[in-house]
Amino acid sequence: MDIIQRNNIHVVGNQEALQTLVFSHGFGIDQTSFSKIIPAFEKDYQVVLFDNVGGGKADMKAFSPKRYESISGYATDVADIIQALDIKNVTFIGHSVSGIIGMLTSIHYPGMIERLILLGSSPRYLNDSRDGYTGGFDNYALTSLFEAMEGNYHAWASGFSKLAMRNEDRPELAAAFASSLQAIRPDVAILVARAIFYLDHRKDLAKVTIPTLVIQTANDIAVPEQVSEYLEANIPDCRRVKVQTEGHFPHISAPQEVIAAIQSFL
Amino acid sequence: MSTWDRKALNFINQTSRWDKDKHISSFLAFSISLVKNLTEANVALQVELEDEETAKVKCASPVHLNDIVMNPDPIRKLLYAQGFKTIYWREIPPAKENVFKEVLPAFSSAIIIPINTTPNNSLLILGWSEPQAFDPGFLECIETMRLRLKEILLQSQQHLYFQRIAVRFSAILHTIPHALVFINNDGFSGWVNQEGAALLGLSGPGEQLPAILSDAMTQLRNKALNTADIYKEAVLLFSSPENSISNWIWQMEHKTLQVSCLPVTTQQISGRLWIFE
Repeated sequence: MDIIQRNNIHVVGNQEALQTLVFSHGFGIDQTSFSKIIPAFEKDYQVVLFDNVGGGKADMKAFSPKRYESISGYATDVADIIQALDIKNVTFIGHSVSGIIGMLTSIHYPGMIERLILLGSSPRYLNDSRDGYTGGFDNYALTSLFEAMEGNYHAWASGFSKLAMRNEDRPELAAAFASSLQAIRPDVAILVARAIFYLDHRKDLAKVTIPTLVIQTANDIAVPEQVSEYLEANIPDCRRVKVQTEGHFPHISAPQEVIAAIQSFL
Repeated sequence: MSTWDRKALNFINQTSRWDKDKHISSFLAFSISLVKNLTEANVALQVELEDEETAKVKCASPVHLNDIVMNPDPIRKLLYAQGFKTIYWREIPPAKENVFKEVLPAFSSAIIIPINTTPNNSLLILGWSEPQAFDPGFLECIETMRLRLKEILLQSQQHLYFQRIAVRFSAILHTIPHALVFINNDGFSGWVNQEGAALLGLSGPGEQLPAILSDAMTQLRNKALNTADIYKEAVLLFSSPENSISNWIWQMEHKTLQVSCLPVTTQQISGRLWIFE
């Protein structure tokens, strides 16, 4: 399997730079979602962009329901990418689920990633009444979400995109997200969404051995503030910053704030 | 008897006494955990080659290694290169040559035990923090355990496969809007779906004794308004086991049942399927 083709990898920026930034997009979008962020780092860093299998322009022939029924398959993909490019001094910037994917890669492959940035990430989306954990979703909400996805995927994508994007004064952002979601094959989207919304990696947080930055936005439908507080409290070497924007996509809605947060960490 | 002979025998005895009431999926995990304890390994796990893109860690001890996904190609190449024989690593190869680096970080010795099964091949990995010598007695013990593990894996896979089949076909047959009744010619087993159970006034769907089904069907037939016609058709139908009938009308007080009765004949099973529409 050609990893470059599988993940539609693009290497940009300063290819002589000693440090590499690997950007990994979240569910329903692709590497172009970082287009407003990348220019700020192109001069000083080598930048790696890719599409997760099942999304963007990744090779659909590589999609295996077995490999991607949990996010561990995506964590292995990240290791494949870093090994294939033979890159060192890697800072991994993962949006949403990709933050947890990068975290797993850093645990399964020690030394491969040096620093981790979790942008709107969550170790578990489902509330857990046993220990009072707030993930943001209860069982009813997730059951309803999947009923809606399975019933009429395109209608669900349209509605969900508005809720997740917020920024109602700029409806083109939600429209673009809806369009990106609708481009995914529904069976693939539903399988991947199940892998995401039912994940639970809270026990892995303590195993993170690298410096970690958590970036939190206000009013994020997928990741309430308690989740980023939980991350900060449970990842050993972690700090947290809040960016002044609403929604689940701060790198799209408030790129300058995200750039500043990343720069403060590098 | 050497220590390793005793351990091999212990493994066979303990896995043979496995409590059949426990869920089959835990049989393999129990067996792998037992191998780990008997060999005093620090890590033990199964890697299943699930498809062209997926090799997945299962039944791991420690459990946090479960569900790690690995690339199957390098694993297959290693197994083929070694002729699917057990691989003994007295020293773990350097990271670039170690296809199991995700699950064997910082270990000194390991063994990889291929277990060929259909449709998916598996392997068992044991790892030790301290260097191991792997003396001849140990090798013999591992090969004995390997044979037993293959039996256990096959038994587990087949059981889970048939469970999945049963669940799938039950769901399909209970969803069909017609009442279905299957009576096996062996005289010991029969089956009804949800609609069939309701029509015949049975306590529930699923397996039923043929005698109970026959009684219930006789009662249903006797409630029909055209029993004489039904009886005439039945005489013709049962004159040969190969006969079938469809569009057979059973006129009930408040509804009309359109009945089909089809012989089911395969190598494994023969009986009659009744369909009430």
